[in-house]
Amino acid sequence: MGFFNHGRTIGSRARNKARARKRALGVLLVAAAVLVLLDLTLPPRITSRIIARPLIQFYRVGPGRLWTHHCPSRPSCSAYALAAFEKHGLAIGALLTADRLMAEQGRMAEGPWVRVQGRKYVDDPLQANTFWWSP
Amino acid sequence: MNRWFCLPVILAVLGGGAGAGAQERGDLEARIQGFISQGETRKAEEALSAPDQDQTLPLETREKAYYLLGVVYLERLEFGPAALAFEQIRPQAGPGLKAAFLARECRKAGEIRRDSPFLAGFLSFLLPGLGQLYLHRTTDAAWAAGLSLTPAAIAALGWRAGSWLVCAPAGLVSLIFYGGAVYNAVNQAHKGNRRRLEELRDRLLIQAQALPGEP
Repeated sequence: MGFFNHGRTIGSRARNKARARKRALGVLLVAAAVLVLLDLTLPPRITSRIIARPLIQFYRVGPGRLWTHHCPSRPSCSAYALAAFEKHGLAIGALLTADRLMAEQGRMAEGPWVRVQGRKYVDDPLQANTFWWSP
Repeated sequence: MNRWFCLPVILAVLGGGAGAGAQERGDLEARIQGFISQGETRKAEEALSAPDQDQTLPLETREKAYYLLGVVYLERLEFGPAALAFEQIRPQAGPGLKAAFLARECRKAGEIRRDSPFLAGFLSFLLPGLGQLYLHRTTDAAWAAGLSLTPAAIAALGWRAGSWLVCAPAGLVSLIFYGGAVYNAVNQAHKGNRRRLEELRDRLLIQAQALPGEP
């Protein structure tokens, strides 16, 4: 009896795991599809106002203030992300933001630099990273 | 550095060459002047290279225009057309020495190292950070690998534990950074190529300035 009970417990755990995995895949696919659909149907200005701007504002008033590390680039990463989302939409804006986050430390040694209130920053505007875009 | 300040010089040179009586020459000069000031270098070049049996435009004015046209091409990092423009100038002309030097060096521009954006992107597609390593950007490679593989690892742990609340958001973040790593590699390859060409251009213009002869 105990053996059968034990077997049933393991079986239900495995089923729960499988269900959770399916749900994870489903949520991931649905979220990606919704983002891409929103990106394709609505103009970038609106999608950025609905989704990106609140997230970035939250970052600015919340976790962003806790960092002792200051962004070495101008415009700052959050301003850059906001501009990227507003100009190019959610998908490409997200890629541009990820690119900026990866490259900001490496670019410090290369320049070009700009001085803002006596501090030296890397001058890295959005236009410098969109080689494929000609307005 | 913007060197469009040379445009007033172009206008002055071309304007100065205009004779009082030669209406045709004035028209041609004005047309070329207009093309160059509007950045329409191809049209300016066509007007300059058109057969000129009547000698409406003096050779000196023509050569000075070619020199400035070459500088405008150089500004745009178009080394091939710049070399062609500089090669139109005779060695004994005013800017002949500078033009010969610039033409020779512009021809060498093809020899400078160029990274393939496609290869960099493909390597980062295979493994985030690999494309950055190909570009000799180790800091970027570490960030690219860390930012895309850490959420991927968290998503995998969530998958194993059967927790969709962990797996789905971490998977989404991982996908974004994975795409970002590929874009970063392509973008850095483009930027590196452009930076090397800009350095070459600045060096050439400084070296040409030091040579004798009026531009």
